[in-house]
Amino acid sequence: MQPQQPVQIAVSNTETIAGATIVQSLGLVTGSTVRAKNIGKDILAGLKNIVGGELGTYTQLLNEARNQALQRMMADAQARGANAVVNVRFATSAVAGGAAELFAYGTAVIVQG
Amino acid sequence: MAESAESIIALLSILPSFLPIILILFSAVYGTIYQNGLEKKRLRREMEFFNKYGKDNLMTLENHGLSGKPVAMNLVFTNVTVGPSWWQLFIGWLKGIFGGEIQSYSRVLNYGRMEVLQRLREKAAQEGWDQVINVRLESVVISKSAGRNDKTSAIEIYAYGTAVKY
Repeated sequence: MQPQQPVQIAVSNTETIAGATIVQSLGLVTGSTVRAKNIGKDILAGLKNIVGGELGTYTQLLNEARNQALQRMMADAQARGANAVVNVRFATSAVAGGAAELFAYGTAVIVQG
Repeated sequence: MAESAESIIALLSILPSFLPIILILFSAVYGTIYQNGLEKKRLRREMEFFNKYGKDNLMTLENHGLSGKPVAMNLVFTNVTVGPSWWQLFIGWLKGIFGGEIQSYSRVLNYGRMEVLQRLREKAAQEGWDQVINVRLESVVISKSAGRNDKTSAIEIYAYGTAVKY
C-alpha cells in the first residue's frame, strides 16, 4: 500500500464555494475512522479526571482522528473527479467501550471560476 | 521501639482505606482552584481577542453578504475534551437523588463550549481569515468503557465552520 498523500481540495460547510459556481454534483462522499484510546492516554486522563478540566490527551487524539476522517472524505471526492466538497457535516459517536467513530460527509461537486 | 514500629505498620495498613476520601478532598480543593484558574485564563484570552480585533469573528449564519463577497474559504474545526472532577461527579451523584440543575456539570460543559469557540476564533484569526460562517457546535460522550470499571468521564465538544476571506 502506498502512503497516502494529503489531499487538498476546497472544502466548506456552506452550500457554495467562494468565487466559483457549482457546475456539477457528483453525489455524497464520506470518510470515517474508528479510534480506540490507548491505555497510556487512559491513565493520564484518569489522573487528570481527579481535578477535572481539559483532558488534553483525548483532545489531541480526537483532533487527529477527525483530520483523518476529513482527509478520507477528500480522497473519496478526488477519486470521483471532484474539485470541491460542499455542505460538510461532522458526526461522532461512541460505538463501543472506549472507542469512538469520527465521521465526515458532504457533497462532492465540480466548481468553475 | 517495637511498639512504635507496630503502630506505624498499623497506620500504613489502614491508609489505603482512607485513600479515596483523601483523593476526593484533594479533588474538591485543588480541582476547584485549578478550574477557576482555567476559567480566568479563558476570560483573559477572550478579552485580549476582543481588544485586538474589536469584534467576534464567529457567526452561525450562512449568509456572508453582510461584509462583502468572499474570495477564499476553507473548513476550520477545533475541539476540546473536558471532564468533571471526582468531586463534581460526587456532587452530581448526590444531586441525582433530589433532581434539579447539576451546577457542577453545567459549569464544566459551559467552560468547554466557551473554550472551543475561543479556540476557533483564535485559529481562524491566526490563519488570516476574516470571519467564520455557519459555525456548528456538537458534543459527544467518549468514555465509559463497556464491562470495565472506568473512572474517567469525558465529553468531547467540537466546533466547525467555514472560514472566509473578503
